[in-house]
Amino acid sequence: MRSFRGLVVAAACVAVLPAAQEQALSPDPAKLDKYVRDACGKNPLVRLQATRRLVQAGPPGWLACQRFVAARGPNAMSADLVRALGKFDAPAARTLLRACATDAGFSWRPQALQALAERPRESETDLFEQRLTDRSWLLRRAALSGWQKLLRQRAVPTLRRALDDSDARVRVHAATLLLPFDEKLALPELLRGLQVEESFFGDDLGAFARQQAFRALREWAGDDFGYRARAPRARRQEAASSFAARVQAATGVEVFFPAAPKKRHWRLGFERRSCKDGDLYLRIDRNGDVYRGLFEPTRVEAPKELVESLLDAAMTVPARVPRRFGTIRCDFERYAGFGGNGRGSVRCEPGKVPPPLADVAGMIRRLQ
Amino acid sequence: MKLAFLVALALALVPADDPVPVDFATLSDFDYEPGMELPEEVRRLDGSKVRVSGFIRTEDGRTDDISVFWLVNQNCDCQGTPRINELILCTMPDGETISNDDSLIEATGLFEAAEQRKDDYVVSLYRMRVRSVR
Repeated sequence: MRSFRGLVVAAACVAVLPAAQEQALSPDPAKLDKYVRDACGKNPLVRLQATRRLVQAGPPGWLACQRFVAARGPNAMSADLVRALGKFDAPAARTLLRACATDAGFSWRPQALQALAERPRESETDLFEQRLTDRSWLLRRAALSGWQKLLRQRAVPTLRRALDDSDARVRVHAATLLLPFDEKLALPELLRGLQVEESFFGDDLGAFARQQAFRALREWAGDDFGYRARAPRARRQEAASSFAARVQAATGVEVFFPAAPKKRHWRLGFERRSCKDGDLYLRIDRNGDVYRGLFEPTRVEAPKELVESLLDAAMTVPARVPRRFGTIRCDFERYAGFGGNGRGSVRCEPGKVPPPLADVAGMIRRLQ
Repeated sequence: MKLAFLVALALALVPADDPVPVDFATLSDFDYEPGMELPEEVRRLDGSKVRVSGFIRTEDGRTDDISVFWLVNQNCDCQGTPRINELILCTMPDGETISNDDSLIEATGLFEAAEQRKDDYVVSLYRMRVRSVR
């Protein structure tokens, strides 16, 4: 258990245990306890099946989850189990999820919020509202889901505003949720979503937006219009453009595709994916200019001497440091582009960095 | 039906030793339930040499010296664990390992599509004995 609030959550679970046990129907708690352990194990297929069995067991399944959390703390749960908690029709499960979703020390906050968002309650409106502007795109995305389900038509103004989110993955999600209410606004954003292109040192971070946009449009259109989210860029763009023309002819909706951004050659990058501290992307191009942000990055002023020292220090780091450092569950930090060949990359537990990268990390902190 | 036809056509046209290109859309275009009979277009691939693109996930999070890994269709875990029919358990050739730098890979090898059970669970549905990776 990493935090005081985690302790409170676990204590709350223990407190509700006796009352819930009275209603228990489970003939075999030991078997259910094993399902919970399996739901938090390493094999993803086993996790999925065990989680499903717990949900099917109903209240006794939830009781087994409570026993697990009481004994080992909320952070011992897998992301899959957290997501499944939303399927239990138990107030205590929602209390636990709410505590997890707001606990900065909890590993699976977006999953907890997403679990609540699947069957949101009026009493949780404030929770979703607070996360609509969170610094983590995953939390903003989950908050939009809950907000739309709770408010339906009344959520439309918020969804429209979210079409201007700085993260294309949130914009596409907002458009997906807006589609039943306002096709004229949602369709152009989804069509633009088919062409989201952004990668961070080989990591194709636009793919998620493209896939969600594609799924929403395929469902809307009733066919796949020849689009494949992982096809070569030219083929994707061809399919998207031809489908946009079809949409325009059918609905009168005009689609504006922004000009393809100038391809930049990045020399060094820092990525922080964090529900706790917010997402952050910093990159330095080959001209030594510093950019912040993932989608549509903006240039930021930085002391030239600092940038030069940083690039020099990054060059001297051996490219073959371990690719993973520390314990990573959800949040992580990534340094990429270091080493003599510029191909070094390491994902680190937040706040930890391999010794050879210590200077580089220090200078990147000064850039933030 | 159309998908089954295309898979059958691909299998018929590709010379015996050339891998059949397969994508996750084909493998996961159905709601899998343990014990069910797999769709024909998937069963046809069982025992074939195939080529699939995807991303590496390991059970212990390791990124180097990987001899067994899950090939998945997503490069971030934003959507949670993929569905059972979106995971291919890949085994590298004896004595060979691979590193994961989070980029897309293309794995070629012998594909198996059948439930493998252990205790009370399906522990893998799709498997590949990898011959090469690029």
